Amino acid sequence: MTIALSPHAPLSLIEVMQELISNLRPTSGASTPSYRRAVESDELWDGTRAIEAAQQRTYQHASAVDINGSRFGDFIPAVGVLSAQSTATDNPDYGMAALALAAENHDEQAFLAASAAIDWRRRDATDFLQAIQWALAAGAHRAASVLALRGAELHPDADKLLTAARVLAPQTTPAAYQSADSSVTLNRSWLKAHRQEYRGRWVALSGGNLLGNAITLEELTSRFGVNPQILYTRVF
Amino acid sequence: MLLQFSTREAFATGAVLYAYIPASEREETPRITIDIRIGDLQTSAFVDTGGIYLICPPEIASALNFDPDDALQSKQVLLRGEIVRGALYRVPLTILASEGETITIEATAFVPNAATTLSNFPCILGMYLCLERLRFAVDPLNEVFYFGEAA
Repeated sequence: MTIALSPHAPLSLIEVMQELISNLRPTSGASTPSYRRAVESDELWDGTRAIEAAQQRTYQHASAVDINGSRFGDFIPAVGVLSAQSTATDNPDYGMAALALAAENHDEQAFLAASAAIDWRRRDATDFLQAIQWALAAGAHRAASVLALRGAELHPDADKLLTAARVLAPQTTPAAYQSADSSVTLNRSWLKAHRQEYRGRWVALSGGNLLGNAITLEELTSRFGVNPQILYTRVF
Repeated sequence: MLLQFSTREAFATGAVLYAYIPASEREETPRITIDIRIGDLQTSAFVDTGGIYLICPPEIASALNFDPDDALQSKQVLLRGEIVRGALYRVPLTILASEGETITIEATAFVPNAATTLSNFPCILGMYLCLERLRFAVDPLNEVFYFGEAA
């Protein structure tokens, strides 16, 4: 199979892959710091930068390619795969570096690809917690849930992971019901009638009656308390 | 009247009149706004089916005394195309009905730190880990929001 890459000369798919992988080699050699420095410092780790450059080149190639009947994207190695294939340094954590890069770029797709390349059974609780944070930064919210649940399952003694799993788990508790509340309609009618008058202010309403109004919610709750029968809302 | 499937199984178990109003002082675009309770605090929220979580402004969270020990603190969260800092909590969320039954479910609430644009809004009912638990329908002619448990 031959594909035409502009402005490059025609290359085979294997040549494209080799070129991309060859660009992953960091420039700083075996003393490259771990992925954690890439996240904690303003300076990107060279290896991370190399992966990012390769990813950008991949997108440039993909945007320029002209092939019939195939989706070039199906043949582009994900950043996690690319990072796993790099052998440039002695002991950096390429998998986590790829997650960090995806988080920094707010790239959900890259995060998912990098996460899929990691053997999570061998990861400790700290790695799970860090990956959850990066998932949230990448916009990979469902992946954050999956990581939290998986991490809590593998590390049941890690309190922070248990909290993450509880917060991000799918909703399973049965719903609870109460009878309808007529004050909802009464409060709504009051707001409709007085919207212009109290615009921008917080109001406290009960049964369609105004209890008070203030600039802040705190002023009202300190006067009337947190009571399920009182509606606190800002008027717009 | 609440909605039913052809089998007469209830689609919605509750309904409420919604307000079709802007969600902040800076906006004129109207949004579907209903009354909810988070824990014991009753307030207003607008529906955002393209959003995620229950977004809870810091002043509401402060009134409810959320315990930071129960939170997943986040350095960065990508929400509505914007990077924000805050904390995630699991909270009881009640959708108030004026007809049928009020319903309480669990939802994941994100509380942004004070200095974000999200803190200028009322509560926002997003889909993921919030509204996805419910069936819901909107009647724009009569401004009615119908809802029921999806499971």
